[in-house]
Amino acid sequence: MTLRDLSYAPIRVAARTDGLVAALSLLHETTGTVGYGPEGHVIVPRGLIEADPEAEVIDTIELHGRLLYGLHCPGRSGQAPEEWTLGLVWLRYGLSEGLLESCMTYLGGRTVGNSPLLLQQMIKGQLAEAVIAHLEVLTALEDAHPGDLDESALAALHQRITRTDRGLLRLLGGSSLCADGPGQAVHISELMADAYTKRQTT
Amino acid sequence: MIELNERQSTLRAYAREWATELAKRAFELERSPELVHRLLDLPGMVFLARTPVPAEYDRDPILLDGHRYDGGSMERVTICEEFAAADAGMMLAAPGPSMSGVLVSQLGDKAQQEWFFSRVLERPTWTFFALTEPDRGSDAGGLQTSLVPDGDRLLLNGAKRFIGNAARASFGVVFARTKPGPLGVVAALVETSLRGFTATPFPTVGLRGNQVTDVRFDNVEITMDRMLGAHLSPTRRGLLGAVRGLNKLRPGVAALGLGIARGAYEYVRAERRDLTAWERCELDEMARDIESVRQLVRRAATAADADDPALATLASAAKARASQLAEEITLGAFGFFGAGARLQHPRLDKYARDARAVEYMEGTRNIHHLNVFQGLSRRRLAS
Ligand SMILES: Cc1cc2nc3c(=O)[nH]c(=O)nc-3n(C[C@H](O)[C@H](O)[C@H](O)COP(=O)(O)OP(=O)(O)OC[C@H]3O[C@@H](n4cnc5c(N)ncnc54)[C@H](O)[C@@H]3O)c2cc1C
Repeated sequence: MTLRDLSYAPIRVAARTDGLVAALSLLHETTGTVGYGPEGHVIVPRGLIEADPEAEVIDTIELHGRLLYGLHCPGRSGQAPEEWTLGLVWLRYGLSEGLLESCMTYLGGRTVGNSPLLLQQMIKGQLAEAVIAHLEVLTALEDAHPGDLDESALAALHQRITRTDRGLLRLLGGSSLCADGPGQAVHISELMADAYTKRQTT
Repeated sequence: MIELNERQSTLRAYAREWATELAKRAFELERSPELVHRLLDLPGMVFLARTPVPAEYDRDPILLDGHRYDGGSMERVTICEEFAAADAGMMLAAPGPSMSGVLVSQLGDKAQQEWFFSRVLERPTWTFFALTEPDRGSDAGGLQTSLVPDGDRLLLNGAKRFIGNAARASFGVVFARTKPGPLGVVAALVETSLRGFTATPFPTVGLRGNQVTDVRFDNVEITMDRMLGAHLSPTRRGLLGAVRGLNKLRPGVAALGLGIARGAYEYVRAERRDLTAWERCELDEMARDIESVRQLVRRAATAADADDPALATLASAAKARASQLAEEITLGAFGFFGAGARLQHPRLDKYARDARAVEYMEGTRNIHHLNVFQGLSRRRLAS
């Protein structure tokens, strides 16, 4: 199998069911690289850092008891290969699917008056919006091989996922702010997207 | 345009200076919420610790250039915007009467007000406000924490969640149920030193300075003199009675969102000097949105200070829009920097994390949209 034929299904599933750290480790393993963004940033689970003594740790984030590092290494700017950048969108997409599942569980178990929040029309509409966004992203991803989607197309997908995640987080109520829950994973997911989103600045 | 008068402008100038000074320690506070104990002598903290206290209880009020401040809503939104533009977490970490003070003013009798405010003025004292429960937040009317008579006192049992500052506090207001139905919810003043009271902080993605906690009440004994609103009719005490006070506070929470948005915007202005024509347009649009929401927030504050019947609708409109603005502007601000901006500009990242929290404080956007609809259907804004 060449990298071009890489299947992203396991990364998507890992993100959805096992969470961010498992999926990110799998992405590293599958692509065999630590993919630095255009300005030399990357988020890595602890353990991979030993592999890169040149990088400076500029952020440390905890997620479910695991540490992740935000690394900066200008010398490795833009080294993320195309299979990595496409894989990252799949990873964030899988996380977003997992977040939708968390919302369904949360809202199904919570009530207003005596009826589940899940049955409120406003909530149904907001969940539907998330599903529509997911379908849109999935449709763009499904037939894409590394290199098929240019930087701006990938950036647009990242933005769509970020906006969708924000909408879903709101549905989790205050619990979305807990540092040991899905809200922290979304924060890290946003940091990862940001590390690869190139922008024109003067 | 709703402009500040000279008194309010003076307050704004002081608040800006205090908040800027305190914000220098913002990341330290995030890492260690206990830091606030070492900042209590700074003028911003001193002011927040003593404000708002009704004039009759404050014999030695803080004067700023000769002006006295009594905690009106326009003052509150001014302070909240300035602090949040620097660092909202610092403001929410401060001691002071805060939300409980408003409720004690609203529901408490003379003796309770004297008890509460004299303690707040005696030394920097944190207070808390406990309404949300683990199983219900928006649906506050369904709360289950119970207050059951036991001889000449009541026993408080149950749990609350997301209670800001409860682990630092000396006392606060707790909502609990004495019987089924909307009139069965009452508010009580509860001291944190009482046996059976525990408050356990838990870490959050944003606004860590607020140090939210899980609170448990395990047979906490409450004396009758701590029940708020016993001198009022049943519809004016408890949750129903509190609603008016909460409506008055809401523009302040909206101003936190507004301030966070402004802080992110000002950060871009300061850090990105050579803008393209396109970026200048985008930034100007942000400035227009911020000013427009500022006007909405001030409109709600004006309604609060005038006891306008449209307050509930206006306050919800301002809160819903300001929390949306805070998320939009903080996310949009990264677009002015290169890839990796969130790691490279931690202050901007902090604004974005803090913005997320504004959504939940004092009710979510959906709930405020429902309130605004109610205002529409009842023609509350018709004029
Ligand atoms: C930083 C922070 C500080 C806080 N401080 C305090 C405090 O000091 N004291 C305190 O008591 N509480 C506090 N809270 C809690 C806050 O008030 C609640 O989080 C908020 O009321 C929402 O409740 P919830 O989290 O249970 O969400 P839920 O009520 O579970 O809501 C989940 C989702 O359902 C939506 N929803 C709910 N009902 C409806 C409906 N009828 N129709 C349509 N949509 C609906 C909501 O908008 C949300 O999107 C704080 C929260 C935070 C994040």
